[in-house]
Amino acid sequence: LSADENSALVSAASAALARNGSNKLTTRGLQDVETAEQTRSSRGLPTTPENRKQGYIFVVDDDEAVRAIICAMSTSAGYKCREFPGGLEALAALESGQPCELLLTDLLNAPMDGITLLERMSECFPNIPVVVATAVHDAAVAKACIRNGAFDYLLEPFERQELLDVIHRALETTRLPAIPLNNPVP
Amino acid sequence: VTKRIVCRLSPEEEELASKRNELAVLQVQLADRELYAANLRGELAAFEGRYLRQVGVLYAELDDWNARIVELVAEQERTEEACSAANEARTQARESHASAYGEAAELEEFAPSPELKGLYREVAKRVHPDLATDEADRRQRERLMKAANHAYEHGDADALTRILEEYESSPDSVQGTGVAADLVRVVRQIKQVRNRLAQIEGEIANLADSEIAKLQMKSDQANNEGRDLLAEMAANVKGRINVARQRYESEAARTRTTR
Repeated sequence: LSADENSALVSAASAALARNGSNKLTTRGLQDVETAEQTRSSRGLPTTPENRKQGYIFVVDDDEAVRAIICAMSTSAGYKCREFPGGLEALAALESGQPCELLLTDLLNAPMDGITLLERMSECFPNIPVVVATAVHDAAVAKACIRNGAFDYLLEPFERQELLDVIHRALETTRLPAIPLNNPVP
Repeated sequence: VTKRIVCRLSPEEEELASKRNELAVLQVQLADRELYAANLRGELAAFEGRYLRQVGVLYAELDDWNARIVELVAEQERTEEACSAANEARTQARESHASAYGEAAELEEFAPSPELKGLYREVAKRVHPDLATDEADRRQRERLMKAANHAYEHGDADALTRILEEYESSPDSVQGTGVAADLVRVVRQIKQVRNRLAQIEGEIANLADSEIAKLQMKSDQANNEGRDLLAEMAANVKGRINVARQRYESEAARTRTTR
């Protein structure tokens, strides 16, 4: 190594130290991955799932805390969420043309219950999959949801991975050539 | 005429009964959210362990080679700048080694059985520090809850059972008597539990926003595309290790010939 190369090496080592600070190996790994992603995208190569981040997941639940946690879990997996306290608000947003790829709803109570929301979704937005989350462990309820056009059914309390699996399945299926999934089963 | 004994509750007693019901519902919610947060923590800790064993150890090796190179340079140049750079590089290599081979790297996997989840939920419901009625009680509960978190993360059902037993067999804390005193206590417990419930949501959001969670998210995304992110990262660092080692060896050879 020449003297110049040596001093470059020395300063590079100091810079690396300054950047990493207390050197958390996690910070470093994440930085390396992000740098690699940026390099790939600047070269026009695909990075991560292309259309995955396009649409929004509408999260409908009258409990603010439940909405927050569902959104936190989905956001951490790269999805974008919009929160609604009730079915009416969610439908209003859809009617005003807000983009939505998936609607995740609790089995709400008044003024619009989950089953009514499902019916309205099948009528007006048949291409948006609806997933119903509820703590009611009752096969009849599950059947009623599916009969009314729910794509899937999620029992509370659920784990992060269960939620992400359902979301993934719903989006993957509906991103295939459009099949009106939510047509009510006769 | 038949006499009937009617047991009427005083307004305070009615209020106490209703507050106790409210607290019971909150205790169940609290246990659920604590379990949820514990699962998230455990999942992330297990991923971190996997990451450290698969990629972290390689960063540590890379840092070791880099430190050796800078040390060689310092030996030759003997300038103050080169020496302090060598010290810093060696410190970083030691820290990386400590992180990569530390306690965090030990957690193999996190797959709590339904029984273990149930046990943890039961501990959280009964032992939770925010159900404490005085300082001594709180200290004991905090100690037991901390032990429970550790036991849960390590899948130790026996330890969780022992914690429950220890809690059940401990003497009740001295409490004031009478409906009014009970009511004050229950209202205070309700307030504490509500505060904690709000706090947990913040903790969960922080966990979901942490660096290890972001890395896990990227790993999950890669997995969905049929890629193995950790293996890719490991390959990348191995390549950098090879470059650093060659550089060190050529530098060392040059040093020997000039001597």
